[in-house]
Amino acid sequence: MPAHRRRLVPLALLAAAAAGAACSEDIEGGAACPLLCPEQNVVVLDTVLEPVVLDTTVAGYPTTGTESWLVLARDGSTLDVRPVVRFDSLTMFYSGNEPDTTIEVIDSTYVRLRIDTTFSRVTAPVTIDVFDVDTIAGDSAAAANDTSIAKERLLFRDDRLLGTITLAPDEIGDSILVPLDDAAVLDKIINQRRLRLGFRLTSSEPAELLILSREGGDAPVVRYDPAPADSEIGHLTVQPLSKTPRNQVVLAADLTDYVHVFSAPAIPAGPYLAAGNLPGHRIFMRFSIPPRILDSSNVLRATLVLTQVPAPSPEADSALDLFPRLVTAGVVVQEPGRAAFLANPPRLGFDSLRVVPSDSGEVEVEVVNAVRAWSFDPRRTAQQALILSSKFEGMRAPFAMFFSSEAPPEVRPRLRVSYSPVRTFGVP
Amino acid sequence: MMRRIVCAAATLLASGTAAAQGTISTQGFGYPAGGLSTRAASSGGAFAEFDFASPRNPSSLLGWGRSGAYFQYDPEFRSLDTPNGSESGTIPRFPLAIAAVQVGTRGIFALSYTTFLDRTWSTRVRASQILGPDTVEYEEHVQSIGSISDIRLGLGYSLSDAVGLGIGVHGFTGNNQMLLERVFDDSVTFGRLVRNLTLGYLGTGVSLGVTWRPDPSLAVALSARAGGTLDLREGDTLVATGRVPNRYGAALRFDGFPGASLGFSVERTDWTRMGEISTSGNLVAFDVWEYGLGAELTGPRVGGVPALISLGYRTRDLPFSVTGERVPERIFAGGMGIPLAGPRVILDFGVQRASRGATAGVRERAWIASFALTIRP
Repeated sequence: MPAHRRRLVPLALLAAAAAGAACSEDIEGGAACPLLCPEQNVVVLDTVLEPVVLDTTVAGYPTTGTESWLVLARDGSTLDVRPVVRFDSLTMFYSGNEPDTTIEVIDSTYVRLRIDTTFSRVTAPVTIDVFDVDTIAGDSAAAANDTSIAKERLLFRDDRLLGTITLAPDEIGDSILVPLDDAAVLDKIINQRRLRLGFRLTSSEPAELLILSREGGDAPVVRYDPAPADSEIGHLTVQPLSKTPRNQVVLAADLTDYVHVFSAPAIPAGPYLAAGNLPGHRIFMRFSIPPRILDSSNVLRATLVLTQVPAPSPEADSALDLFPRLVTAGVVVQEPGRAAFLANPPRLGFDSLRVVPSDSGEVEVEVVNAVRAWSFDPRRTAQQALILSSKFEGMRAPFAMFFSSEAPPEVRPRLRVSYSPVRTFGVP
Repeated sequence: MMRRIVCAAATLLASGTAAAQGTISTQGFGYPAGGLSTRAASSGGAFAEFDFASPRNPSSLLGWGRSGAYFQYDPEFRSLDTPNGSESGTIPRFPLAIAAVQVGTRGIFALSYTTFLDRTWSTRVRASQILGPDTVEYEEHVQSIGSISDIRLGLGYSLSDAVGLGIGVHGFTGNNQMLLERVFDDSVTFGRLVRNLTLGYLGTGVSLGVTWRPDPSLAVALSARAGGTLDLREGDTLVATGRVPNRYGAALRFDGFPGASLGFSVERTDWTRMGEISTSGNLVAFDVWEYGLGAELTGPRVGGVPALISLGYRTRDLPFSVTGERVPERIFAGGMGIPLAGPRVILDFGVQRASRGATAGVRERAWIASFALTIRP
């Protein structure tokens, strides 16, 4: 290579290095603001709307059989909740000296309940009674397709009592074993009948036990000793199972275990909305937000202002957390009970709202993410609706109340919106 | 039925600091890249009126001599000193590309692309705003990406050995992709403000130029561009109509010293005509002068062809104000042109040191590297 070209090589390399180093863009600044940064034309308007077109209280959540916990509760005459667990297939054979030995006698029969001790409340001795609540013996066509559970409510009778246990508060751990009548259970085993157990709690003080359900991952089980004379043979465990209705498999699975609410605190009549209670109540609110806000603005804040009413609730002075949740139902789902079922999970885009049921006055629920979600739906295929549900929906009886849109104007639900109309910017 | 019960006073909430630009050079409609080739920029723009690769004077197209192509890359390494501290950035630019075709024995036809106004910047600042009853903190990101380009169809025609004429037809086009994003610290309670906007520009112009060499050691060049209309559109909507700035240029070149050429240029641009498309009412544009002084020296031979060494100084005012003040820009430059394959393939590179301001306590400095490849097969 000629000398003059060799001299140019370092220069060319330097130039190539500089060019390479400049390939990455870094244009971000800000240190010179606000001096070199004129204000943007960001106009924010504050508006208070009364946008509720429909608000109501809908009950029955979680739906029957989908509870993660089975509530067994009693509070005098105001609260009486009794779960039912179905064992529609009892084990008839066991492996003893010979395989598939038919059970002819059983001993030490009990039902085991897994207890959530964190949220259960027991302050005095409690008695748990277990009843045979099977409605129709055999497997008739009517029984096979029975979807009704109403008749069971009449079967919590003394003549159907299968077992009972009384426990002091300190005797309640994470499992409770309730002994059952061996003869009654054996009769069902031998005659291939269904064993459907109903549970009732009594106590001198308000008491509530939360039993894990099949959906909760550790369902109640029935256990019995099929060969009392043979100490080598242990207990058999029977998992819960519902065979009916036979033509609806999903519903049959749901009806493996569920609760009956015999009595619960009454929600006063009037222009009120309530969330909580047993069975779980939800507040359903459907809105109509002006297009000038949804379509032509950036919504920066949306606060739903509710006026709370003191509620005749159990534990009325304790805090109750409510979850605002976005309804995902389409506009075709008009019935509020169905629409309220189709909602996002709690905590998805919203903070919880903590209230004390006995309080009154205005409370604010931040719902900007709901309004923004509606603004992203220009074809209006989704409902503009929210629900408010209790954190312990279907588990705890406390409830909170608010004035509805039928109340006097000064206490109706309102929506306070801060929004920025879309305007041009960036033109010097 | 929904009933609106209160429409509270529409409040223009002074939102602390809402950011834009953030630099001296990108105020207004942007930074004028200058329309200078690497070689011309390296000599302070003094020879731009004579330079075939600088689309200022269409008569200079005759310098191509034959068909060819030219491509240029100019990364700028910028630093900003402010009372709040210093920051730096890197802005890659591709400010110039040309394709030239020889027409007969006397003409050169060329299509060129030049960055006319580069409006690329981004700022990110923290501030606060009142929303409902609360004052809330947010981070605001404002960004502009894009530029206005000058696309010229030019024809240079050699009237005689001493006189060349040129004419150019210009189209000014481009856009600014604007983004305004305000993100509040509490994203559950407060929604994000996001605005995207495309500002489009479309304008016209025509330029004339003449180069006269009364003596082998002396050359004079004159050029002018008459700006036509310039439309500003927001999406498909015409927002404003203004005019493309007129430009006038003149230059002298002296080749009387062996191995050295000296040049001086002056240019006037009527940027105030662009002020007509300003809608904010805050833009202050100036008609500015630019002066360039430079020298080109014969360097070492590469493959029998001498390399070219350039030195220069250029000064001008920037077209758009900072807080109403004129902002001077001073540039020292140097560079080299290396023949890679004789005179047919030339690699130019140069370095410019620019100083802008100080104004309002802010000074901007930049190293602008420049690389260009000229191919004349």
